[in-house]
Amino acid sequence: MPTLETKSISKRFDSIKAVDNVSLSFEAGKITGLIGPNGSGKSTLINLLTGFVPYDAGMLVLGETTRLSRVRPYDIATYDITRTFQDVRLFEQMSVLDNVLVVLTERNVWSALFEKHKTYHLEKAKEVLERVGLWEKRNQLAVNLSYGQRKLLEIARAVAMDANIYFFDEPFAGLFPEMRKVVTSVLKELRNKGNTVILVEHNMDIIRELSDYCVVMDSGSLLAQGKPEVVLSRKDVIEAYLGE
Amino acid sequence: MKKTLIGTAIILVLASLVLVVAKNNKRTTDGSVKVGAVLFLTGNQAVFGEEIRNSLLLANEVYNADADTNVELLIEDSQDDPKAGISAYNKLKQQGVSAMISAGDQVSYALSPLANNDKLPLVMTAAAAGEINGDYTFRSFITARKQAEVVGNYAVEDLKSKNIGVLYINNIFGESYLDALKAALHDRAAVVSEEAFNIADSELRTQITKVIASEPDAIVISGFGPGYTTAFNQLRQYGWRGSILTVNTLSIPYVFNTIAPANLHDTYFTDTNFDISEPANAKTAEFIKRYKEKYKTNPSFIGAFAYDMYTVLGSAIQKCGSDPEEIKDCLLDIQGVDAMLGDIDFSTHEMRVPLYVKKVEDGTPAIVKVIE
Amino acid sequence: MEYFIHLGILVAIYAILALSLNLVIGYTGLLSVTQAAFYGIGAYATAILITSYDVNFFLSILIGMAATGLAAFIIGYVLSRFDGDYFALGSFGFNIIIFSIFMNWQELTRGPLGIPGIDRPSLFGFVFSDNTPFLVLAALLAVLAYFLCQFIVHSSFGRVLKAIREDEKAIQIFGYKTGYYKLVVFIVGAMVASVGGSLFASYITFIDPSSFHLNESIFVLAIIILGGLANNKGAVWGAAFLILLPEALRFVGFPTDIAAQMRQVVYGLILVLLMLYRPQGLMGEYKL
Repeated sequence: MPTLETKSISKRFDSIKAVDNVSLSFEAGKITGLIGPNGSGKSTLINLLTGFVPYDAGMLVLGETTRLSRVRPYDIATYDITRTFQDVRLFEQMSVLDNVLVVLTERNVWSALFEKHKTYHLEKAKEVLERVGLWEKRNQLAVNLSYGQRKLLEIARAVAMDANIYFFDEPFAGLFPEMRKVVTSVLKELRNKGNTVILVEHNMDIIRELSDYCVVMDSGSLLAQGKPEVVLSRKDVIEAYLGE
Repeated sequence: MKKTLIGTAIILVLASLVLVVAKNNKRTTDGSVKVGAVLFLTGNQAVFGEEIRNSLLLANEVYNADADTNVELLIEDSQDDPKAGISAYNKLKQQGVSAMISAGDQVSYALSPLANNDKLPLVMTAAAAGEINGDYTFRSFITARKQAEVVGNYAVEDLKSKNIGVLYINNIFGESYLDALKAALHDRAAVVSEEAFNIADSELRTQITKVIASEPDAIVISGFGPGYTTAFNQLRQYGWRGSILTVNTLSIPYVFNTIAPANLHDTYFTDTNFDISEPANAKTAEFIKRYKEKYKTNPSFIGAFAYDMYTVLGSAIQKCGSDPEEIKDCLLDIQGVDAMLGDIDFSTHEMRVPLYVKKVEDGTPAIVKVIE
Repeated sequence: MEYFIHLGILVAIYAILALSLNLVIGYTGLLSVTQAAFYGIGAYATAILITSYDVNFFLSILIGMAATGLAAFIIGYVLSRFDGDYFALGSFGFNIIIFSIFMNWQELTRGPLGIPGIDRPSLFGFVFSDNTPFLVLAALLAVLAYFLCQFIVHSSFGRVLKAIREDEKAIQIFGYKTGYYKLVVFIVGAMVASVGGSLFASYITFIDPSSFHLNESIFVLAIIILGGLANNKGAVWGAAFLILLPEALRFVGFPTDIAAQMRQVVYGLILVLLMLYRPQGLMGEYKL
């Protein structure tokens, strides 16, 4: 029973079909790798599935009952979906701690104004920040962190959401080995707890190591899917990558 | 923490600067009487603020040359903004002035209630609109209302007009002029069109076309600034051949000179007796001569009002002393002051001077009617 | 002393305006120049209610806030359709519209003639006609405004505002309906500005449309940039600085015939230098 399915999702930008009639499903308790050459539509697909960009046609199916023909940005949190960004979108002029706290607090305008649950939120923030090793830097502005630390902060922020479905868009890019270990363990932990983890990556070794299932895109369409060892040795997949 | 300290330090420095030097200025220098002036030396109409200042300084010089007690004239910039005007007023008050002069409509109306409260006589000039009230406020200027009344009566009685078109400046001056004009016309004539222009407008085709299309017998232009000159020139340019009735802005030398002589036919305007080319009396001739010598340029009626106002104030101080209350009473009763613009009468708080309707003939204005 | 008290009152009024604008621009990143309009609505509300309807000053503040809140709701709703630069342009447009209403709805506002003779506040028989009690009143209101803004900014709501400023789309993904937040802060900012306007009207006792033109919005913007965006202490400091500076310059001994102009030159020069060497303002950490 997949937690998240797409049915014939399409998106076009002017005359280019960025995502063309894609039907996929993602399952709980698995890390699904989403790979493909540059321009294959991976990032666009993620943007469509996380409400960042609206899709032109198709449907998003969550669980058994929820069928969505339209997803708005603020809707996805209610569906327990969260994500990180390839180009790291943090709240730059806010502290590390605030970057995490801001996703923990009340969503409603009035409750947010009079909120009093400070200790609980602080505890949760401490938990996720310690997990990625950023608790000591909690009062530093996000803009002053190193590249690797910024990526870790984004991951902490996503983890703090306590969601069900996690999209990680190239979380390993540019990280030192020690930091990679942290990210790997976070992803595995999320999976082992039964969440649905979708991982976009360029690095094939990481994909082989981490993903339980693999989906390959090329030029906006689904090219192949299956177990990583099988998919990565397919001729058409290798050609798609070589051709780029 | 460091920033808060630096910030507080800067403010304290500024504040002390203001406080200490203000206290220093408070000490009277040599027992002389002080008169304060809040003028618009910067801003849109700065050139007239300058003229007022120049005329006041000149009048001050002349006064001190003859008088026994020296009068010190202290001038501050209001920037033509009521808030800054009030700051200036307060600073001058602190320096112990016995009387205050103010220029400009907005600033003067903001200062008037303060002066009334402080029992300090305030004479406003270059303030042509609105009512003045309170025992301590006086006006030394020709009002928009008065000019509109004269023009309205002239149009009906002398030019036999039934329909009047109006181009007026979109501010307090133009508005009060329009209201007074309508009141003066009453039911003897109708205002068939009224179009507004802004002080710096350079293109008024739309408004002018509308006014001409309403087929008036005469068109009135009231305003000042570059927009006024534009209105005048373009009115003729876009085809109006009939009579133009206007305000004494026209009498200002450089306004008069920027209007093509051909456009000045059939033009009437309200004015005081102040005339650069043919001074009405010895005092005027004297003023014009001295002003030109000192400031290398011609004054206009604006400078004349300021000069006369100071002469009157000086007279009051000479006669009644330096107490503000006495000066106020003195102003109300003042008689027989040798002034340029005529016999000054401040009993109604408004300076009453003879007014004229002048017509431009062969490029020079000539008096066609005398009022009061 | 009178002079000093007068300056103190101006500082209090502008501190209130600066605090209100800081909420909208400094913390939320909404580049709005409608502040002068809201300040004006408060001023006109108080002026009209006091002169024509004999309403008590303090009641007129509340009514003014309600009127401004309503205007802000409508304007904010329309502006929420716009993004970034277009928002600024739209807010500029609204400033002009409201200014035109002040100028042209003459039955209500007397247009360019302005409204003179606005009484000073009175409370249970005590009239604030002297400047000293008025200063106390103004300072009290400024302190209230300061604490209100601090409360908002240090709450979870405030944190969301900053996130909106940093990356609105991103914070939406985390479940926030940013449109509501922006509208609420816009309305609150407008209502605080309106209080400043009411104070202004009763202090100067004469208002006319020219005090509420774009220049005023820009002056308040300058205050919060100089003081440091997204810093409430900075807003108060900036107000003190920009009000006292031209007054302090009055005392510099320039030759009389160019004194006024020289002061304006020096004033401008100081502002430029400050922006060159300390663009984040005195207390700010955030560069626009």
